[in-house]
Amino acid sequence: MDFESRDIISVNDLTREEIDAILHTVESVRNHPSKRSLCKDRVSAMLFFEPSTRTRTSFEVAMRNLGGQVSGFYDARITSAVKEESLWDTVKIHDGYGFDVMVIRHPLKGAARLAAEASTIPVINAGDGPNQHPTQTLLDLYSILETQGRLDGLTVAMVGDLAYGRTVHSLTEALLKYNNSKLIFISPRDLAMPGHLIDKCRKTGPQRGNTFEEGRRIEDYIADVDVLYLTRIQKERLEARTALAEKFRSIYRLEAGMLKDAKPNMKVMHPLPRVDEIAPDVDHSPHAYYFQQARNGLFVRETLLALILGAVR
Amino acid sequence: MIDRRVTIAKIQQGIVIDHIPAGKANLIAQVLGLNAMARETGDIIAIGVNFDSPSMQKKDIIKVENLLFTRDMLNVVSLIAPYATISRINNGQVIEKHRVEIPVSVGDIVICPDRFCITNHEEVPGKFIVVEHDPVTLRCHYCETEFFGPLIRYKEKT
Repeated sequence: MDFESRDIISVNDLTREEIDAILHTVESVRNHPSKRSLCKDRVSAMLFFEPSTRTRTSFEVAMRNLGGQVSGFYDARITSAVKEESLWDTVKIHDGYGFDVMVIRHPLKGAARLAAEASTIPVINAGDGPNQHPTQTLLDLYSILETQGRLDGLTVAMVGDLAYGRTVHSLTEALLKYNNSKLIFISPRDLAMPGHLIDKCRKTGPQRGNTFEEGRRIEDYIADVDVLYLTRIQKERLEARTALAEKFRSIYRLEAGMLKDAKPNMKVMHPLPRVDEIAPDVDHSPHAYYFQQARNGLFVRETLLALILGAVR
Repeated sequence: MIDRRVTIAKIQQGIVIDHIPAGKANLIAQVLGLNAMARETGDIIAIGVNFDSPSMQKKDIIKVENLLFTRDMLNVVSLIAPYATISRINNGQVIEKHRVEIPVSVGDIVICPDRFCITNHEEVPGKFIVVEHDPVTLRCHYCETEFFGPLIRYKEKT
């Protein structure tokens, strides 16, 4: 399987075999004896049209760890975008500067796909609005694989804002490529998993032995799950109903005391940043895995850069 | 009593799109860009609305004096009229007749319904993949939004 020069735009573009191939390369890149020279003299363009902290920093550090460099912008307000330059033109200009790979984050859906069409070098999507964030999905899958030893046959509960959270949408689509999973969607009705994803689970689930159910309380499932994936309930999503958001946050909040019946292998994950949905006392529990998960983002991004730049196979 | 029977004159050369659900002919003309084509080429276009039909009760029909439409170009008709038939006429004779087929993908004739899609903010020709046949469901190539029914809106071709 060859990823050299390939765009990474959406997890939907990747087959199970391709995802497995990427995840199984992470370890070798992470501990590569000559990691610091894998991408020596290679330069990544960073086109960040909206703010990002973790994604941006981890891509920068990943490239540096591989011996490469980064250059670009992190705030569209200081670029020609304010002069109403199109995304197409901005990508074309950067494409002409001799970069080896381009990492793009943009507030509009589909922007990364368009960038890949404008560009002759490979493009990595670092988030196109509420649509896709494939490197987040890959690091989520890697964290699950690392802690559970497999991606088949797991019980995974996703909790919180399932209506608007793109990470849980992509994770669901990715897990549907695997077998015999039990997916549990725990949210208030106002923030339930979108109908098209429920339909997809219903239609494609049985082919691979995957099942799903929808629930309302974390406590009802905590003893059954292998992975408890929490998400942030964003006040802005509930518009004027901030009081409702506060209420949901108190209901969909994990505290250390709730973990007493959890299976020993159970891990708590979260794409971060968290607000109130995980109490600080959970951090000391052996089940807490969200900080390692965030760190895995670095290793997964190193791996993708190394694969796309042809430094490893 | 006066016989209300109205027909559209036969064409010698061209294409007949038949079995269009009543009221949809103008939309099909719009999607195929027939007005613009007629202005450019001077070809005759006849649009019949609400004709009696044994199988559909009422139907629309379009006749175009032009043979340049390919099968692929005409297959977009299936999004609006899944049971439409195409007859190709040469020298007054039907030389080919077939049902429209739902295409694998659709080009820049549809508007993505997602207002946060890049295609609604930049001049990008739309591309859509047909992911379901019944109901016809499209997925935007760029933002991956899936939509069907009244959310499928067509671009105005003037």
